[in-house]
Amino acid sequence: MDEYIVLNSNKSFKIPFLQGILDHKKIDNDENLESLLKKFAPDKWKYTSDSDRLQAAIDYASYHVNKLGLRGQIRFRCKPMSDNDYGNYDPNIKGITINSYYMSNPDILINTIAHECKHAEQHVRAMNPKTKEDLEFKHNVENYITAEEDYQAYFNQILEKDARKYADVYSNTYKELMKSLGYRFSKDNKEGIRSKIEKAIKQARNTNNNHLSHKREREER
Amino acid sequence: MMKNAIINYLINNLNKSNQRAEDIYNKLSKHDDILKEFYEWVISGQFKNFVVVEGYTAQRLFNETRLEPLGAYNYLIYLRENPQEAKEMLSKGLPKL
Repeated sequence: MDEYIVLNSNKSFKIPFLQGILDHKKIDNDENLESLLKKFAPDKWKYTSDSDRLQAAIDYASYHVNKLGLRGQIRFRCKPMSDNDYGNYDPNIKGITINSYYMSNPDILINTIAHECKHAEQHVRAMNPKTKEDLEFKHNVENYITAEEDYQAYFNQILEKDARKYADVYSNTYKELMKSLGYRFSKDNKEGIRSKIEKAIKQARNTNNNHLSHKREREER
Repeated sequence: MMKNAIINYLINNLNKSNQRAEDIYNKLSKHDDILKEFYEWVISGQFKNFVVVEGYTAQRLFNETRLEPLGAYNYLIYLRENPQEAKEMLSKGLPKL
């Protein structure tokens, strides 16, 4: 519990343009979000210290905590997790965990933090349902399907779809902003670590095989 | 008998509710061969590898991914019903947020 950093959703955290605004379309014009996202610019990020990266992640998470109107405290931490686990939200302790591996990948980090903050909001709404959507969240919280038992159903359940939809807005905003600053993003940014490792191993094997076959050829000559 | 064994396994071993267990069984039962192999796994604890979809068996999925045995059999259904998407997810390492 102590390793969490507490995000406060009180008024002292000032994001004047976005306080209480839930219309995603207004984000494009928001200077505060823009300045937060600029901290994640790939060339800057590469040379940003771990503590500054953590601070940028906390500021960005705090932005979502405020934007989503979360009352009370949400905990936040980064720690090593399994391959391809980007992060999670634990409603029992109101804690967001981000896989520290992805602290080096601002693109994934932007998406994951927004996604987990949205899960925090969904759980709050499910606890005290007022709308039809809140009731759907409640039903899904009570009948949550894990990725391990049925990946397809996990991916398509309402809590995950809703969190992806919310996070994608920020991913797109980030990408558009970065594009406007001259950055380019490859499609394989979200490729899993394991598949990247497998590719690297295959490549190494091929290189090694080529090297050995050349060596054999030379010896035969 | 097969249904009872599977439902009992889901309720008693995986702590699923009666309704969720029924839902899981109904999904599996749409693919007879996958259902039967899952039943074999429930009673023996061993993968029989009868069913191969897009080059994958349940055992391979279990060994190479985060999937639990039930998840591996459900993934065979995914591979059969939506092979392109299912293979794309595998290539991404079944990411979890």
